[in-house]
Amino acid sequence: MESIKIYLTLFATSIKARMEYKASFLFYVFAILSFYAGQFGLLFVLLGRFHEIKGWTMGEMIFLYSLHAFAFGFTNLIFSQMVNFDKMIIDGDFDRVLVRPLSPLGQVIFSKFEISTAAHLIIGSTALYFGSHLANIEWTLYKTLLFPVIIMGGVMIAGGIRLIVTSVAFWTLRNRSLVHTVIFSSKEFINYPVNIYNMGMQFFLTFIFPIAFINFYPAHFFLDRSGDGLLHPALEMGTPIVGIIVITVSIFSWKVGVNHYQSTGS
Amino acid sequence: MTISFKNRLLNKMNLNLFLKFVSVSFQKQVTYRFDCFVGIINGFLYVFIFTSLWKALYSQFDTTVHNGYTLTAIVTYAVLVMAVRISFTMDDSIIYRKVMDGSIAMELVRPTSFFFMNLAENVGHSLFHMMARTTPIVIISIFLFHIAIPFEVSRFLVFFVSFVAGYLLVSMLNFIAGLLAFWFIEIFPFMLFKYALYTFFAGGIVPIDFFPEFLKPIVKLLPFQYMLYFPTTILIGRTSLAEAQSIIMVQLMWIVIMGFICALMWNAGKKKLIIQGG
Repeated sequence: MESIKIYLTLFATSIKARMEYKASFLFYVFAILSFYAGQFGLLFVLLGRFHEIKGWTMGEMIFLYSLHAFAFGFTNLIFSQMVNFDKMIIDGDFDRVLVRPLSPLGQVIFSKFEISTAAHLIIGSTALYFGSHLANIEWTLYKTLLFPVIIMGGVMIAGGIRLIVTSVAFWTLRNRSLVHTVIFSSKEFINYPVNIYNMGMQFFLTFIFPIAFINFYPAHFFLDRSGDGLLHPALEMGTPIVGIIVITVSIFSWKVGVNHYQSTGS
Repeated sequence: MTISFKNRLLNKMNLNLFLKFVSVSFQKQVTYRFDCFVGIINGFLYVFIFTSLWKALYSQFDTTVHNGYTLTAIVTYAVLVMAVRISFTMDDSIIYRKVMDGSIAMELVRPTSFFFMNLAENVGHSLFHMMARTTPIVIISIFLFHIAIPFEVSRFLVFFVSFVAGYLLVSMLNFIAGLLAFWFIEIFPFMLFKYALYTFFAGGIVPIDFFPEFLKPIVKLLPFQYMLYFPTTILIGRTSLAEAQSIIMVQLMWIVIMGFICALMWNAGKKKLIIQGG
């Protein structure tokens, strides 16, 4: 109970610290929105010319984006410190974390919350609105209840992957480029429906690096698309299970990393 | 008077010093081998995604030519525009870091031109990425995808000129964006904004030919297409050599305009810096 109170204080402090720079916060939101505008621009250019991408129309593509933006937004909020974690190790800041009577992972997560996440959520909601509209999604009670569950599953997958690459820093120290490739560049894969890739890549994105579960598979369920073309129709509902598996593996790898950790002495 | 001015100018753009800066910056990159390896995978990931995307889009139609591109031509474009882009890799946070830690003050007392030394640092950085990343990515792509480049010596020469001009433009764009650090505590949002503009309007993913008509006049007014799109279309043979000459002239015009903006901002920034006391 006591530790929950501490975590809440840490959370509030982190948000307050970030809000000290309101102008900078607004700049971030604006920049992220412009980044998305660029991506949507490309999507509109392509769809304007080709009408659909492997059977995915404009509305369905926008819905695909919405799931992605929500999952990425929440992941960015919770796991933002993971991006620069190698710096914490190199500078020796992680030593401080270890001597405190709180879970090291909890402290690292609660040391920074990226509130410019708001931008991702704005995009996610807007895309959800227009996507549902254009693709004529019928929001039954079942779908509405499952939507947050799917987003949570997506956050567990994306966050778990972040935690796994972060843990690599316990062995290699500097791992910025790896973190950036795995976290940011690989996102590009699921900007498009995964069925545009060859079988090998589809398999990879499903079973080895399962980011296809963040938007591609669950989108089939919400859009009432037939799952026949998938590797297996049951994958449609796989997101929560895959999320639990990935987060469990990631926490395990983090723990192994912490045990292996030797301070850089700086 | 004129002689001393000439000497000063020569000193400011000393070639030997320039090359020395290039080589130091190149060697700095060599030390990060792991990053380089990840960088190859990263670049290849983009090539793979966009070639897959084009194949998927083209497979939906019976027509084989869209906006003047056959499937082979568009795949070639996707691979080479990424190759050019990776060759243009530079560290766009150098100026920001120098302003933040105050070492920018050192640049003011140096007898060399800050712009040229910054360019030298960029060139060293990019040369490394060209060798270590562009080359393997292009070689792998030649084997994995069906790409076609017309082999004409004159075309390669014209491409090279346009490539260098495009490089100068990107370097100036980064210089201008970096100088914003004089006025703003954080410039990462600007960098993200720059990235979005550059990716979209330079034809970094989709060639300008596919843009809807209403966007084309806007694209024409901006310098971005002269950074990636034109060098690439010259290389793949989509832009004729005669056209290429006038394009290079426009590139030069943009270099003058952007160079002027760089000088203006650098001088304004210097004043601002002195007011703050560093």
